[in-house]
Amino acid sequence: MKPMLQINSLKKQYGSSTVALNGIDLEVHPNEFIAVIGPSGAGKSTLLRCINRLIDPTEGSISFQGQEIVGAGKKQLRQIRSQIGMIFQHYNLVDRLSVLENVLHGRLGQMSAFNGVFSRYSEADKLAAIALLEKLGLEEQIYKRADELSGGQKQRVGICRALAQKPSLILADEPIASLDPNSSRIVMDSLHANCIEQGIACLVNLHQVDVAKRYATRIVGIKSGKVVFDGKPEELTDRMTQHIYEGKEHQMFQQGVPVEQAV
Amino acid sequence: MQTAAAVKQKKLKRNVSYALFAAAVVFSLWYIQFSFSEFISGIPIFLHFLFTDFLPPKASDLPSYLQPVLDTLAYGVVATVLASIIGLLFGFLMARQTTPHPAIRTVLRGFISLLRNIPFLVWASILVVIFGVGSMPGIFSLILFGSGFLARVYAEAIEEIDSHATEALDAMGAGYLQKIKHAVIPAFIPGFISWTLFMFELSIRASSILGLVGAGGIGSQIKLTMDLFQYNRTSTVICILIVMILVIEFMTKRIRERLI
Amino acid sequence: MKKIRIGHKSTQRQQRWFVGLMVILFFPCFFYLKLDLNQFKDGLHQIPHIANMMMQMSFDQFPDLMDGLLTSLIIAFLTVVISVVISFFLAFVIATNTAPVPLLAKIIRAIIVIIRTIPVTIWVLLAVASIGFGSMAGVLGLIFPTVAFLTRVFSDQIDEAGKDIIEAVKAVGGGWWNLVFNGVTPQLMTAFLASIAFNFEITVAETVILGIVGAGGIGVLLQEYISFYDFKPLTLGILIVFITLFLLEMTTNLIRLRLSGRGHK
Repeated sequence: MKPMLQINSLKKQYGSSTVALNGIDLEVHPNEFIAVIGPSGAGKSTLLRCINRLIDPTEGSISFQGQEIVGAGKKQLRQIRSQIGMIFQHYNLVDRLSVLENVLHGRLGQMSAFNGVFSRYSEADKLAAIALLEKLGLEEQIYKRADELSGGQKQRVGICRALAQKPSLILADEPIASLDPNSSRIVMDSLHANCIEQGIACLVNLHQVDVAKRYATRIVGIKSGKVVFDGKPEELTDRMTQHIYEGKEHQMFQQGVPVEQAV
Repeated sequence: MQTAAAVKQKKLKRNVSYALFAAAVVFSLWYIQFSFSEFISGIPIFLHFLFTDFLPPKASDLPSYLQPVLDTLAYGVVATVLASIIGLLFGFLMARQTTPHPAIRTVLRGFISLLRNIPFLVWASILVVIFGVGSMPGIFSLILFGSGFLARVYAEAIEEIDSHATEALDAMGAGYLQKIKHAVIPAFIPGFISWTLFMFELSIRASSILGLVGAGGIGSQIKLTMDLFQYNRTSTVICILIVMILVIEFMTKRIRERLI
Repeated sequence: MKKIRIGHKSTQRQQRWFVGLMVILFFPCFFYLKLDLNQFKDGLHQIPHIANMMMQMSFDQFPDLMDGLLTSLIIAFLTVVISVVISFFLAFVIATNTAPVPLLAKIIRAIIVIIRTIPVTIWVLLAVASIGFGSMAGVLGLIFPTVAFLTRVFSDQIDEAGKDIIEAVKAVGGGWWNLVFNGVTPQLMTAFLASIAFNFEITVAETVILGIVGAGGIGVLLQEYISFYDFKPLTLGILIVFITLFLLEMTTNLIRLRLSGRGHK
């Protein structure tokens, strides 16, 4: 099967000396739920942001559904971005707007500039957004202001916003790094269930190996800007994990507590 | 030894700065022919003036000041609204995240700095020459000053906005105007309300002195009564001014608390 | 079909309320002022003429302008020096945790509020009216608002930072003078200096225009040029004022940056 996303020898260098990504090759196929693991500073976040060009890569190529992303023009880039959902560690919601408005932001990339600026969302989009929020258990929060929610709720809004794009790929950058174990589980469950159900490929950055193993169909281990492991979760041996996290072993678990205990 | 030398050097440095300071004071006193005895004797004269010529305020003709008070308030409202519109436009063109081009940002910043660093009363005087005596030069100088002030503080408020939400909209493929509307403006609104209210306060204070150069408002009553040596009337006007400023400060504070 | 509401009700209402208030107040105020369109047009016609004259900048008055500028700077300098001395003591009298007589502190605070409400220019105007034109009137008039400002700022700084030190000095039985000179002052020196630098900047901005109400300095010249329609030297004068204020702003920013840097060490 042809991959939907193909990354070839991707490099990113900051300044003249700091190399964040040092030749990454990666293929993503439809319906995959891939966990990208590695210690902080390994380049996971840079990798994800290079895919939708929030960060411009220094070298290499990324092709998404047959379109080349590196070097795409402004308009084409916007069109590509609108098909890729993104979830952030700090939720990145607009605090002073309602939850529903935040979810509807997911539609902006596919609307005309005029309709987008004047918030002329179609009624169908609104109904779909409300349905999404209800599905993720946020029916009470629809008209609350985003800054009134708890962290876990905010992240679920973030997921709804990404899903509202009707994307074929979701990039999730450390979605549970700022959450407690219980909220983390709810967020990961929602993300996982919806991606599988709607056939959305998903690339999740995680630093907790146990969480990665529980949800992922495939795990990619990154160390110092290079892919050092790429395989099924059951193939990830303890030795391999230790190699990936060499010197930063304490980051392997969620807040130092294995997830099984928290659940 | 070295530390002793260092201490010595530090002491020397301090003594030199004291000496320079003293010299500056002496030079200043000499240059403007400042005489302390005259100055000290001036203080009782001033206080005597304040408390006998000036006070008590003459309350009998209070109603006649209604017009200048209304004028001043109207100046404040008109100038604040217009200055906030111009300030918004310039502010967005000047702020780092929202400027269409860095060159525009630099040019506008220079222009605004020129506007701001030329004192308000100088603008007012020039405008009086251009438009003649009356409310027009007053309004225009308030707008000129206010636009510069608001453009700067609005731009700063926009630059202080957390970039997370903008990043999310970027990632979803939203365009420039969409980002401004949905991520920048909502976060900017508290700053906008707060600074606009502050501008209103400033314009009330400023329009009180506009009259001194012939640009209308309650300041013209201060000048008029003083030129006629009717000092107890002047003090009435100043009392009205104090009350006005305090009331407006109180009101804007309440609005700010409720809206933000 | 009724449209589905998407916004947050009270936030939207508040924002609309504010913008609505601006619009509603604007129109009656605008029409109340009866701005004359003809006056506006005449004014616009004047602009090219005046701008043209201002473009022909002349340097003839340069020495006079520099003399005026120096006078303005000196008025500001002397005002700040005298005000610092006065407000330094007043600040300790009114700061909550060093006030020797609480009632006195309250009275002074109230007076400060009143003094600060009256615009600086009016203080100077009053001084000119009582002791006549000149630099001394400028200093005298400026002292009131400057002392009020500095006293407020100093006392806030004492309240904010001085609590521990004050307790320590009180614990060892130090008297009030001891408290002021050995306890608080060394600790707050940098904070005080930063506020003084800031205050000097504002005061200079005031003194350059005070000539307009008759208190000496470069403003007198500017006022003369304007009232005699002598626009050629006016441009130079405005330029000098602009450069002075601009340099001053940069310098005080630098000083504050250095002082705060030293304060952290």
